[in-house]
Amino acid sequence: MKLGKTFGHGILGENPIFRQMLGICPALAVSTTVFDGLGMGIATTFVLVFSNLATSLLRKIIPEAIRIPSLALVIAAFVTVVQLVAEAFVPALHQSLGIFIPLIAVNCIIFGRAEGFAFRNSPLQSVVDGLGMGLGFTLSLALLAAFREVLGNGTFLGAQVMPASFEPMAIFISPPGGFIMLGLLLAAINLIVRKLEKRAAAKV
Amino acid sequence: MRKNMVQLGGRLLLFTFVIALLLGGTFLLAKGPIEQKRLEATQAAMRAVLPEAEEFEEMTVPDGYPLVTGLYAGKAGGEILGYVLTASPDGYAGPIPITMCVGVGGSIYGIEVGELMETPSHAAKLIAPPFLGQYEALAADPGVIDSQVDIISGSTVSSRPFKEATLQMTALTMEALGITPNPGTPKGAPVEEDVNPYGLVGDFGTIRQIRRVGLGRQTQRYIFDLASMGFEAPVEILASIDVERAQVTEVILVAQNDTDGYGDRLEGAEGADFFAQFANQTVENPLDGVDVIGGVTVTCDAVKKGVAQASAFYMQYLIPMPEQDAGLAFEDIELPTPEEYRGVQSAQRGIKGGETVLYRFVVRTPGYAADYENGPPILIQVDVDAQGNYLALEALENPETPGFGNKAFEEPFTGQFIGKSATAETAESIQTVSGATVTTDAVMRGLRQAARAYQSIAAAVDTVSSATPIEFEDIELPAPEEYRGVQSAQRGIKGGEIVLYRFVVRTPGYAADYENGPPILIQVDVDAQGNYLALEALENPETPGFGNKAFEEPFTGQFIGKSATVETAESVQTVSGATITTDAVMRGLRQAACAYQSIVADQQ
Repeated sequence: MKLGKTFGHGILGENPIFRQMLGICPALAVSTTVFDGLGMGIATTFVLVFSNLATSLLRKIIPEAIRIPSLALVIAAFVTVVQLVAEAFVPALHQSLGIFIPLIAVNCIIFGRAEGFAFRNSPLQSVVDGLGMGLGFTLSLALLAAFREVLGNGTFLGAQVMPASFEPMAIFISPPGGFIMLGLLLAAINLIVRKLEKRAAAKV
Repeated sequence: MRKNMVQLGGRLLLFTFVIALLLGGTFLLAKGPIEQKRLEATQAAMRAVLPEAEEFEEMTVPDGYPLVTGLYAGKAGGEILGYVLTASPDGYAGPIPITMCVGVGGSIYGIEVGELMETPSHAAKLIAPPFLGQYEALAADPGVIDSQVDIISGSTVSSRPFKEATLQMTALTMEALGITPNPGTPKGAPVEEDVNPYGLVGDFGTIRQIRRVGLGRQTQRYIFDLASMGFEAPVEILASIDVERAQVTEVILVAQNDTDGYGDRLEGAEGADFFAQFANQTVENPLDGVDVIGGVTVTCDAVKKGVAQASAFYMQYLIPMPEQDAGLAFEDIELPTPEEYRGVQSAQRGIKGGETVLYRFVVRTPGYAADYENGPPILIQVDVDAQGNYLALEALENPETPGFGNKAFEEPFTGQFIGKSATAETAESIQTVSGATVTTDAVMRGLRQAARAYQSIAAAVDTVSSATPIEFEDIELPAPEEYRGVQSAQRGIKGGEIVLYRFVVRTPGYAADYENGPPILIQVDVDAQGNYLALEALENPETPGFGNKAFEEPFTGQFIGKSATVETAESVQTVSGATITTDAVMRGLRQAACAYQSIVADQQ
């Protein structure tokens, strides 16, 4: 597969959240503000890229029988690295993401890409796949978080963007609002994708 | 196969080793900054609670205070200003880092909460002033904290350990550092703000002071010192309310500073006429027909507002209770052991138609005014009825802050003991009222003293009356198959009259249902009027600590004194945590009720 196509897959065609419905738990939990959403996305991308790279490099020496524990080890190791680095150098992010950093280890996207893609592809391909998927995840989180932060809090990245007369709709920064907003976005994206597919089919 | 397993294991071990190296390296890189950050956070918290200190010297935390994690002496110029203590009790979602400073003067100087892992809404409550502000300038004494700091309802799981930690911290400064607790002065620049001392209980903002005029305990009138906002400045007036007539007797102008040409019209003849209208107005309707002076409406309305508030306050809090003691004659009782209840000032017997119908105790008990304001103690009057139950509680003298002190004499509080047996246990089971802890606690102690006094009198009386003991005789049950658990029924006879029925009932509880143990054997007494009189466990095989809940006050209070019917038994709520046992007892009570009702029906 071409590198460009591999990269693009993660962002649109196989977007982990909007197309594959993977990693919904952290997506709902840390998408109340754009800052948290971006932070979570970047942390996940880091783990994705490096666990994909490590998996791909080791794919020939990891025996099939211990594939699962080995991958779990690799992923957990990179998550620990992220946690230590975040605590040491980006304490604000560490504080606001809290328990969700360690939980990256059990994010299905990571395991899914390591097992489903990196275990069968070259290191370069795997890194590009990790980057694409990570970027797709980050963008999805940022999009979801942008709607939730603006509607639920009247701010974007912490800056007031709505007029003073706007009454924030607090439900959007609460868990039920997260589900509602995700559902609305899914509907909108499905609509767009279907239109694009129809247009492509018509062209053919 | 085995060789293969060893090979796989070895490879996994190798991976683990490499990863451990990688993580070790990362940790070495991150360790410095992380420790630096944590140190900075601790230092910042310490500086926040004791900003005057130049350095903090670490000390060893003495044994016996498991929640306290750190102890530092905050110094400036070599002199210790205070001690900073840290603790991290476990909250709902993780540790709650607390930093507290106790000044050498003995008060809590500052308290800070660090990074919380609690749910944001709960975390916000924990660091908000209504909770944290309770600690400000409080005497560093666990007793004081325990009684003055209320935990947050709805966030108990976090605020309870928080309070627990502060109790240990102050216990440490008191016991291990020898700091004498003293309330301090709150920090910060003085703030001027309007205070409405009666805001909690109603709108009485114009009342500045109330004076009582009376002879002994007889109150003749109350004089209200009022300041009510006129057009530009407050009008100061005095309003007098006569207790016997329940009328406003006089309203006089003390001072006014309202706009020239308006306010000063109150001072002349027009004003005299205006104020004269208040004389002899009833307290229920003090403004009836009172006309304002044309052109001075705002100032006159201010006066009316003040009088209306004074009357309303009088109606709500000062009006004497209607006479309950009609036809009662009182005679003094010599207390058998006055040294056991020193607060009891006097004891009387209330006699009506030759029979003792109540006992009346006057008890002195120091409350907030006495403890914190060098004021007099509270004087309460406790009535106990002939059956030995608390009958009434009244304040003869109540020097406590109005709006707080009176809570001890109002329903939610008094309902806890009125009608219940006048024992020290009942008094001790009373919950204090949050916001009026010190006063209600004082009243509780007064009730306990009254109970002791009553019990000592009752014991003296009992030795006389118990000369005729209750005799029991067995009753044949009319329909034993309808209440198979009932083992025996007896009739208690005293002086030829039936005074009670006694049933022994077997009812399987937790031990029988889940542990192959024996059932519970209970004894249920029903009085001659057909009410549940007493419940006792003859054999109680239930787990201690759970099983006994079925024989204690909150549970038994649901039916003792109520009619011994199936409906009463079925209306009993089980005790959470002892559901099975209390349910079993409930079934036992129902069987006893069936047996009792069948005996009654049989007799008829």
